[in-house]
Amino acid sequence: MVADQRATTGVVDDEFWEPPWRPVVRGAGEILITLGLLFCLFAAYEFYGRSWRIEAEQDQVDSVLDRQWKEPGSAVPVDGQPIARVHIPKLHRKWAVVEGVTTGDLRKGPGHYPGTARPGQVGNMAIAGHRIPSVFWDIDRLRDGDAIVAETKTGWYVYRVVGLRKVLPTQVEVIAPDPFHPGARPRTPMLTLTTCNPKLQNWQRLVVFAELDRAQARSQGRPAELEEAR
Amino acid sequence: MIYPWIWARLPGRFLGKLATAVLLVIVVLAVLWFAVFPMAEALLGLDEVTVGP
Repeated sequence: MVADQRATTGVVDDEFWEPPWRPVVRGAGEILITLGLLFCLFAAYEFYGRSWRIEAEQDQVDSVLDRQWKEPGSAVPVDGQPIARVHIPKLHRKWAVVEGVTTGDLRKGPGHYPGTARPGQVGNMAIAGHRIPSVFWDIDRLRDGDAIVAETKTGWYVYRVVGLRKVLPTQVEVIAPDPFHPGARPRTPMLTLTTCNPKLQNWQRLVVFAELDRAQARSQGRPAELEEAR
Repeated sequence: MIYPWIWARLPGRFLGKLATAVLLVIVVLAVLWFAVFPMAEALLGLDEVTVGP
């Protein structure tokens, strides 16, 4: 039909004529739309993809932790293996914390800086985690007095938030044994969380300090702080 | 211009082309999601959350 018209009239032909620059513009448009979709997809990956991956890893690491605790004796921390559970009742979150802070370790969940204190020990138990929805996204909502509970094979350690700070990535003193007096001998058990700041950027670190409030043995049941938040 | 070019080279008639196109899109998305993005993320340093010297 169209071909007939074109052949007979020669007028409709003009509608099929394209200025020579049009394919170039169309090609550029296609490339721009493709790049736009690509960046949207990358943003979605940064936000949801990593969260899903970490949640899947957490399920696995958490069950490893349960198995470890059923075995007798105390386990020596192995890189990439879980060492404790950390609960933040205010944010309705809990994680199995793994030993080590390499990219691979942090893919499994929050990571414990090697060489820093163990739960309940005098010194500073420092933990790093991604600023994504399934990890430390909301820790800027913590305020002084909020509970952070560490759970080990033998007991529960209830820490209370004593301060938040935004620092540069090079300020290693925040994970010193006594983060408020770097270089001094630590006197209290502290817990420090580090994550990136601002959200989805990486030029600062958000740091949450907490100090041990009390400890209780596993035989005494779950601490009241965890039940309040339910 | 790229997409019409690919479309013209897909095998079969309309349904066949459509099925192949959907398959192609899924393959491209999977490669991006599981291989390219994790690598891009590490290169951009978006996964740095620790303090260190």
